Amino acid sequence: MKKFLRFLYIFVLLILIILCAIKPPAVETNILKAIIPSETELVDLSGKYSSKVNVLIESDDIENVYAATDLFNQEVDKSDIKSVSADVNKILEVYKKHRGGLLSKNYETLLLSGKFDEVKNQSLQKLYNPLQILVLSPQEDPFFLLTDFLENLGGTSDIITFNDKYYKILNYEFDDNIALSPSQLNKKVEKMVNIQRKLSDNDVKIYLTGAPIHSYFASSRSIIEINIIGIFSILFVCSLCFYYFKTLKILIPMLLSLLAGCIAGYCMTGIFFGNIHILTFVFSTTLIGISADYSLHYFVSKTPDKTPEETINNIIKSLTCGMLTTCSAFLILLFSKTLLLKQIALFTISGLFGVYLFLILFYPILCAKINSNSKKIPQINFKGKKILISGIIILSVIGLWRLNYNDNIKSMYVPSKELVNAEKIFSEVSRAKSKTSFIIVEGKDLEDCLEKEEKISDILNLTEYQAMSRYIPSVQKQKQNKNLIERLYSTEKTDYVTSPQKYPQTPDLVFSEENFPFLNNFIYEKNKTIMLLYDFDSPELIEGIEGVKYFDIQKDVSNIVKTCRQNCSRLFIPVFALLFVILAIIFGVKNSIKIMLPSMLASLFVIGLTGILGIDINLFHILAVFLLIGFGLDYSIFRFNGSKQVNDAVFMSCITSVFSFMLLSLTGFKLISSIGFVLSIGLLTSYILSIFLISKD
Amino acid sequence: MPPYGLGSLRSHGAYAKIRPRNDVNLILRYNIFVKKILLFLVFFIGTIVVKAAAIKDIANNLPQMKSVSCTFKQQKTFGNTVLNSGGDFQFIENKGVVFKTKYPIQSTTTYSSASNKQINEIILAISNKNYSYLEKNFDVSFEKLSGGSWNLDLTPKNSAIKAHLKSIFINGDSNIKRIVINSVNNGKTDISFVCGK
Repeated sequence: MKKFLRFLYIFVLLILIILCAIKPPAVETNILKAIIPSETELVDLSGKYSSKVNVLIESDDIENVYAATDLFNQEVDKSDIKSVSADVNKILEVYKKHRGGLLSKNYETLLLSGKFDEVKNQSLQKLYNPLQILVLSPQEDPFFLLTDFLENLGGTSDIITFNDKYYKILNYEFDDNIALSPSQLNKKVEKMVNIQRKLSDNDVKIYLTGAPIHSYFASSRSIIEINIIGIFSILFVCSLCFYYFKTLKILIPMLLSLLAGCIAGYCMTGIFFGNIHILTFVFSTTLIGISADYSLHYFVSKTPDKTPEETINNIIKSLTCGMLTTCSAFLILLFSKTLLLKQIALFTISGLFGVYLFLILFYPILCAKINSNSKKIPQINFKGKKILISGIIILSVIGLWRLNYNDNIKSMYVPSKELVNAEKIFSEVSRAKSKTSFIIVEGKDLEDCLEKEEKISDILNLTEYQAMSRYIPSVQKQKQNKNLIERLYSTEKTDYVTSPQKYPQTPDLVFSEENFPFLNNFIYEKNKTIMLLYDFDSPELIEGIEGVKYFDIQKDVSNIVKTCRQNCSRLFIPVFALLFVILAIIFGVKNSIKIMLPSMLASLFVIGLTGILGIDINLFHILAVFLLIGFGLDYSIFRFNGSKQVNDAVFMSCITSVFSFMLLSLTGFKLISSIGFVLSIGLLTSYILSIFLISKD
Repeated sequence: MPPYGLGSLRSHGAYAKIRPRNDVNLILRYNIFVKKILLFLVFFIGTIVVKAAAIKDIANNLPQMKSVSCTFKQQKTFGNTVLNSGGDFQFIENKGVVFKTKYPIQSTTTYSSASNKQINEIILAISNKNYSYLEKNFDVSFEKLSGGSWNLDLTPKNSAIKAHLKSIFINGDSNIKRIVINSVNNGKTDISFVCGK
C-alpha cells in the first residue's frame, strides 16, 4: 500500500511540475498588486513613472557642470532608454497652422470678460520687451496670441542656479522590457552608479534619484543582509543538529522534504493563480520552519530500538494534528479578498501537505540507515511560572491599550542618508511640488475627454496642472476661442502693423501621435486621459462629474492597506474558532483550550509589546501573527501529544526559528523586520508558555 | 528563503509604490520634460558638439562683469516700422538683467520671467564667461578692440535656431554696451546702454 502511495506522490508531484512547466507562472514584484489587484488604475498610475532616473549634476563652476553633463551623457548606455523624439520645428509648424483657436487661459479670461484693451496692452509689453522672442511676426500675429499661448505652457532653464551653485538635471527613462525585469534594471542602474562614482570628485557632485535608484540600493543592501542571515542561520542549525544528533546526515532528508513541499506549494499556486507574488515566497518561508519541525520531531523520536515505521506510528497523531491545525489557520485566509493572503494560504497548505506526506511516506526509507545519538537537552526548572504568566498577561493588556497603527505604506522603507539627501536637493533644485494627485477622465471619445478636462480646470480654477487639453484644446474650446479672437481683431487695432490685419482662419487642432508624441503620456487608454494636479487638496469639488476619478496615490494606498489590515485582524476570530473546533474534536474541549492558550497569549503579548515599545502596528505585523499561530500550535500539540523526548525537538525547532527570525528583525526593510520581530518574540513566548501550560500529566 | 532575494522586492516600481513622495519627484520631472519640449518650441535651444579651443580663448579675453545699473535705449525695426523705447537697466551678477521700460509704455522685464530666460541666459553666459553654453549653441566670432573694448558675434548653429534667430551682436568693455538681436519674426532689436553715469 505504501509503495503505491509513494508512487502516487511522485506521480502527482511530476504532474504538477509538468503543468507548471507548460505555463510557467510569472513572478509579480509590484507590491501594490499584492494587496489591491482589483484597483488596476491606482496600480497603473503609481507604476507609470517608476522607471525614471533623475541625474542631478552640481558644481560651484558652471563649466564643470557642462563638462560632467557631457561625460555622463557619453558614458551612459542609451540602448535601453526610452526616447521621445520630437521635431520641435514640426510641432511649431503644426501650432502655427492651427493657431486660430489657440488662446492662453489668461487671454481667454480677459477676452471672455470683454477686456480687449488689456489684451492689446499686454501685447504692447511683449512688443517692447527687449528680451522677448516672438514665434510669429507682428504682421502675422499682431496681438502675439500664439507666443503667449506657448509661453504659458511653461519653461525651465538649461542650467539651474540654487544656493550659489550650478545644477543640471538629466532624465533617463528605461524601456518597459528593462523596467519590468528587476535583475536587468538593477544591472543598468549599477552602470549609472559606477559612472556617478567615476565622475564625482571635489569639484563636481552627482546625485541620482528615482525609483530604480532606490530599488538598486535597497536590493543590494537586502541581498547582503539576507546572505549574512542565511549563512548564520545555516551555521546555527548545523551546529545544533551536530551537537544534538552527532551527525549532519539528518539534514539530507530535511532538505528533501523541504524541496518537495516547496515544489508542491509553488506549482499549486502557479497553476491556480497564473502568477506568484514575490511576497508570497517571503511569507511562505514558514514552510522551512515547519518542515524542519516535523523532521526534528521524527529524528528525536527515532530511538535505536524503534524501526522507522514504528517511529512514524508514534508521531503520526502529533504530526497530523499539527498539519491539520496549521492548514486550518491558513484555510481561512483563502476566503479573504486579498490576493496575497490567498496565495500565502494556498502555497503554505499545499507545501505543508507535501512535507507531511513526504515525511510519512519516504522517511522510513531515507532515514533507515541514519543513526543519530541524540543527546538529552537539560530541562529548565523554573519556579516562578505564575509570576511569569501574570507578567505576560499584564504587559499584554498594558501594551494593547497603547497600540498605534501606521498604515502609511511610505513608512515601510527607510532609505539611506545619502539617498534622502539626494532626494532633498533634487526636490529643492527642481522646485518639486510637495504633492501630486491624478484625475482619470473617461469620455465618449478624446474630444469628450478634453472637454471634461477643461471643465475640471474651470471648476477648480487650476493653474498648477498638466493635461493634454493644455496643449491641445478641445474643438469646442477652439471654436469659442476663434469667436473671441475674431471679436478682438474687430475691436482693437494695432498701429505698429501697417498691413491689413486679418483674423487667421485656420482648421481645428486635433491630437495625432505623429505630431505630438510626448502627449501620449497623458493617454491612459482609449477614451481615457490623465490629468496631473499639483498641491491640490479639494477632490470634493469634482465629485459628481461623470467619468472623472480622482486619485491621491499615497492616501488611497494607505486607506487600502488600512482596510486590508482591519480585514486581516477580523479573520483572527474565525481562525481561532475553527482551530478550537478541530482541537476540541481531537483532544476534548478542556485540552483544546490548554493547547491553544500559548499561541493566543503569545499573539496578544507580541502585539502588546509593540505598543509598549512604541512600535506602530502595520499590516505585516498582523500577517506575521497568522504564521505565529501556525508555528506555536505545533509546539503545543507536539508537547501535549509526544513523549518526553519531544520536548527536545520542540526546543530545537523553537530555538532555530527564533534565531533566524531574530536576525530578520534586524534587517533594514521594515516589512521583513516586522515579520521577524513578531515571530522571534512570539515563538519564544509561545514556547515558554507551552512549557508551563502543557505537561504530560 | 527563496532564491529571488528580498532585493527583488524593491524593483520594478516597488519603491514607487511604497514611497509616494518619490512619485511626486518623478511626476514633476515628467512635467518638466513636457515643459522642456515646449520650451524648445519657444526658445529653440540646440545642442551640437563644436571645437572648444577657440572659444576658451575668447572667454579668457572677456572681462568678469560686476553688478551695474545703466540706462538703455532700444530701437526695434521690423518691415518699415521703427519702434523706439528706453528706460533703466540693471545687471545683477549671477542672476541676469532687469529692463524697466519707461517710454512709450511702462513695463518691467525681469530675468526670472520664463519668457525672458533665453536672451537673459545668453547675457549671463557672456558675463559669467560660460563658454560651454555659447559653444553649444552658437558659432562665435570675437574681436578685441583698442581701449579694452570687444565685439562678439553669435550665429546660431543649427537649423532649428536659424529659423528664428539670425544673429546676436554684442559690444562691450567692462560692461555690455550694445546688443543687436537679429531675429526672423522679431525684426532687428538694437539696444545700447549707458552705465555708471
